[in-house]
Amino acid sequence: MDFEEVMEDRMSKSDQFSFPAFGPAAGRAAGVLTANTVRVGVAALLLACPWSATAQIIEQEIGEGQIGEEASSGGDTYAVVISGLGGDPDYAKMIDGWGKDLSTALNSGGVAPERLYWLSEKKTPDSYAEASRERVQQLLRKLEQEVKPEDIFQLYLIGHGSYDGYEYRFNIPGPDFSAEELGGWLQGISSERQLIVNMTSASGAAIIPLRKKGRALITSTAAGQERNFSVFARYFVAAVQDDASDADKNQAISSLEAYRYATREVARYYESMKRLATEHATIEDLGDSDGAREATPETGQGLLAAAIVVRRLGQARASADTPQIRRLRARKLTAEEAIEQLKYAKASMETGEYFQKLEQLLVNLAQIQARLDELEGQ
Amino acid sequence: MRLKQIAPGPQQPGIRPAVTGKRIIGAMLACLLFGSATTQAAFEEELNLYRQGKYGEAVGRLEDSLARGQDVAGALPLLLAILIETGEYEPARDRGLRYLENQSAPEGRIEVSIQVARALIALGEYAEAEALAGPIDTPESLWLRGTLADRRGERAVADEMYSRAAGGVSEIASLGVSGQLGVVDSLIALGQYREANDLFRALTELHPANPEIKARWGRLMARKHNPGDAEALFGEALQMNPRHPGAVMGMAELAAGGWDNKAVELIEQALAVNPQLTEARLLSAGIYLEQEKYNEVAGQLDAVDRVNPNSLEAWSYRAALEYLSDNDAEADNQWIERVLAVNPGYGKVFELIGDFLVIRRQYKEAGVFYQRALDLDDRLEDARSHLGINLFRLGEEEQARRVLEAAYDRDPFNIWTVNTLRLMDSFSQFDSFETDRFRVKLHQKESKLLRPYVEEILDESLTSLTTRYKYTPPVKVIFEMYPNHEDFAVRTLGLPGLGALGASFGPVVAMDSPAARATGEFHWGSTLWHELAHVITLGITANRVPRWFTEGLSVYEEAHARPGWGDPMTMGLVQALQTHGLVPMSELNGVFVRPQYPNQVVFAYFQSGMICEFIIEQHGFGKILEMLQAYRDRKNDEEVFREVLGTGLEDFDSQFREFAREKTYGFAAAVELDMEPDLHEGMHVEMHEPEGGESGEDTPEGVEISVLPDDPSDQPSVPEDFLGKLRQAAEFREEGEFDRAMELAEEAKAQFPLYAGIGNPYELLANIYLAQDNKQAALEQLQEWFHQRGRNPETFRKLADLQAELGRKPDAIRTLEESLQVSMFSVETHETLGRWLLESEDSDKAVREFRAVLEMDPADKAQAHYRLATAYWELSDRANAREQVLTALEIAPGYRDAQKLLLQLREQ
Repeated sequence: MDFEEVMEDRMSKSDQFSFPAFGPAAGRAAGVLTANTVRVGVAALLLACPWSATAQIIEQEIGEGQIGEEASSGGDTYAVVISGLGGDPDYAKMIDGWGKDLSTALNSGGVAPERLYWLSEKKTPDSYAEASRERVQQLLRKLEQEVKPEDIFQLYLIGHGSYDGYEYRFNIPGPDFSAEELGGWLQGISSERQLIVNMTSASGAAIIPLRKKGRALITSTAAGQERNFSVFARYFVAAVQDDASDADKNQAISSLEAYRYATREVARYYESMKRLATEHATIEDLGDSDGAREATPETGQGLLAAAIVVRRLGQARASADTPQIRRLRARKLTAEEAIEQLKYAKASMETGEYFQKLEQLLVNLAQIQARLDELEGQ
Repeated sequence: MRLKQIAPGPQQPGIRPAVTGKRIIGAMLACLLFGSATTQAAFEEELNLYRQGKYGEAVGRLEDSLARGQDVAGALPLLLAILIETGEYEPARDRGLRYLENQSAPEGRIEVSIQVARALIALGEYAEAEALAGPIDTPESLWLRGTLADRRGERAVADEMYSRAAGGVSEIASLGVSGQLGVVDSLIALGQYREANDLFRALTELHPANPEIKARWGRLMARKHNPGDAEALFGEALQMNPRHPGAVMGMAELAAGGWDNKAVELIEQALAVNPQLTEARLLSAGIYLEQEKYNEVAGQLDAVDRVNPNSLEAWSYRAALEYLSDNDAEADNQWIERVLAVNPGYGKVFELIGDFLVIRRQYKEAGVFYQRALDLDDRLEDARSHLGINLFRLGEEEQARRVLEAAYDRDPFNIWTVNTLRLMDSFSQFDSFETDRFRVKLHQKESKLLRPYVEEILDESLTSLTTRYKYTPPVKVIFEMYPNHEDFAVRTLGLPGLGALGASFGPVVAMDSPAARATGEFHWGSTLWHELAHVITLGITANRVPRWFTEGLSVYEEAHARPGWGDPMTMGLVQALQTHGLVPMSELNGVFVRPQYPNQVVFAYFQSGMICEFIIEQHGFGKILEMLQAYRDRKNDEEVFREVLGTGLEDFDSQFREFAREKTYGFAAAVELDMEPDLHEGMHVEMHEPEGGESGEDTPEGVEISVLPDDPSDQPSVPEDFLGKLRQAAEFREEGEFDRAMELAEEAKAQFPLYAGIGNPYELLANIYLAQDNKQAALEQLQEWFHQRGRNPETFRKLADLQAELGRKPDAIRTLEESLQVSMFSVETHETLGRWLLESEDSDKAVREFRAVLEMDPADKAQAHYRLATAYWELSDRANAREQVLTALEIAPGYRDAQKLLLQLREQ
């Protein structure tokens, strides 16, 4: 099945797609499109663009030119980071450090402090609470009341996981909790776009209990049998911290971009150590699959993950909203669409001709952007 | 001595020989099996004693039986077999002959005749053996006759004998054990290995308690390159008879083939049972020959002569000995001529010489001998395989493939052939390119990344070495890098499992690529330089340079190539020095082939390097060139040292010992790895031996040490030794007692300044200085670490950052460039280096770095293309800048910086 067939197949099952917050955000960003027209536009692009470009467009639709995280979905982002039991001082220090670093990076990337919760092995001045079963449950019950359908909910698990052949358990102070239990606790969270990143050993066993429509799920291992300590967390946290993971330079790091960055660096880590990789990260955002190691048209994974921003780069800026700026933004969107359509046609074009046309379009876009920057005071 | 023609007894006309033999054996067995119950029981006991290796006891009982006149026909052959197995060849011969002369009854004559023939063969009395076995047509006798015809080079006759013996396979169950073994050995001689293997399997089921069958089956396995199963079979044989000479020798050959010194011990075990075992003497001679202990070789061959003065194998070893001693004429005129006079088709003599020339790295000459071997005997399958591998080593790839494919057709079991052909097949995944002086092969997955770095060092090293050594290779040097270490191992030896990093076959160099080893483990530039030095020294001497000298010079050259290059000093070397001391010059070469302890090869490299340093310091580099010329002129170590350096080897040993003492013994005493246990209390020392360190090739850095503090309560209060001081310094640092930590670290550093491995004092001190915000002092410590050949990539980065921060950008750039020697695949390093080079207006090199980033599949591809575009922009290379910026924007159309550059390009 080639790409076009894949996409047609997918579009024929369009009810499987769920991008609940596209409309308001994109409409507001572009200033001219309605919720419906954006959906149609995205659908058209899905047919017309290579996968990465599709994901990129979706992300741009949601995030480009927004003010802080709130504008991206029309709602707020809630993030819960749980760093579990270390087991020994070295692991404890590492796990705690990753939890703290991730919280800091999320905060710097647009998650408001009042909606950011870090639960650590031991309660510290920086953390919200101890990562015990009771405190996790309490927090999730609290969030059930606060999180709205248009909000984004993100949950990050860092530490040791275990799998006994029957169920996955996350190791925390006091009694552990299982993936099934966590799935139950999350039932009340009404956010229609959710992200769970389980960076623990054996986390692959948590895919089935936690997968759900509208939820992007990332695990650091492909199966419960991958029980060795996972280094995925180190690189996922680095991805959120590192501007370099913003592969499409849209000033926002999506969870898909962070996933790709982390998996690439994990592979590089094992290769550089000449060790056999004992973990294989997996992504699942269809809600009903076993997940895949790569987000591609063939695997069908990655669309939702591409639409969930984990960190926004640069300072929030107040953008002017004059008729001229609105016109330029509309022209910019058109220019971007033209570029994506050209990229899709690349395979059928002669290289020289392709780059000539690409250059024209890119120059046009660059000129529009330069003018926009001028008007927006950058 | 000559023997009277003794007929084995009357044969009935009209009976097919094999059947005749079978009937006679049957009669013999019947006699053995169906004699009186008492006699039979006694015989079974004696047979069991024999099979259990209780030779003396068995002989005593058999002698008693014979003295009592009981079952002479059955007991005597067994007695003779035991005498032969224990090396009593002459008594066996004489006893048997007496019996045959005096006994007219047919019972037992054939078995006795065969045993006598075996004794005669062992004694080299081949004609007499032929006369005795000739009239007998049992499978065992036919096989013996086949071997005798083979020895004379009468292949057709031999094949006929083997074929007739092998015909017995259809009636194998009715044959006795010796007949069955005659059949199976004939199948092997005919090259029918699968059939032989099947038959061995059946025979072991028929005779589960017979060690001889297991041992011979093991030999077949070993011959067909299956050492695992061979060892298991030898093991089973030895469980039945722990002294079984065949099984012990089988084990010895396996050990010798794996360069395991256990071979010597096993040979001694075999000789303890059979002091006349020429096979053991020959294997021993081979081991001595590898070690270049020529007197010992001659001693072993003399011992063979005393048993069998007509051994073609021994004469072949004599020829090899003369060749390796540079007495070519002696080898040709005396030994080879003598061998060929007996057997004009005895190609094995040339194969043997070829094998030893390979060990001496004289690949071209070895190839000539292998070809001569095949010209005489095209059934020498191993020689064909070795010829192909040698051609491959010499860069004659196409011809090598043809020969190896022919070898594979004839012997698909040969793992060297198979591995090498597989490697050749994988060359489709390699990129090949030529420069003015090199033909390079790099794997496609890393070729674009590595090429500029590899080309630079290839060029730099060859230029430097050709200038210093006044020698230019006459042909382009073939250089290959393998990202999979096992591919390199196969390239080098034909087998995986080699611990070396690089190998030079003259004008052909193969080595691990930086991807073949873990980050920080392998300084690939040093290895490359080391191997290129071999190209020079092998070239100057026509591959006659002794191993110690070529390795020593390579070690010396890599260490002087650039600051921080060369093998770091390790605890393992210090320990080897402490425990075993220096190797005398006269033994140094042999250590590379057959080390006496696990880490000795690494130590031999170190010592050889130090010897070269000593010669250069004492006599000047010019003497090195003179020495190389002398080796080219076929002079040996003793002659070269006397003529060029004016000293004998023993005197040189004394002079060098003083030099080495000054250079290293101080450290050895300070580190005191083998001191009393109480001083080591609390210190867990992990020694890691390099994999396959006994291979005789260039090994990794060698033993590394992990200094892991144990429970602090166990620590001595005032450590005197290096490790103790380091350990306590680290503890003090953890506790924030910086002054005490620094004092101890400085003391440790003074004791053993060459140590830059894990837990070294330099990094410890630098970290303390950084904690105190004394960046300059930290920088100085790390610079020392670098000069002492530190290898930790993170420390390289720390040093570079400090240099950059303190305004020494050119130094920082050099440090990062050097870090690529131990960590080529760091995106971050290449990115930083690219940016710094761009800032330093070295856009050419910046392009190289940004290209490298792109080759490593970076997370931020758009940025990588953009940065490459900026470097091209700085070089005014508009076309490439445009291509790169368009690619960046193709990935990320909204990338502001790239958009700006695109507009700049348009405006230009």
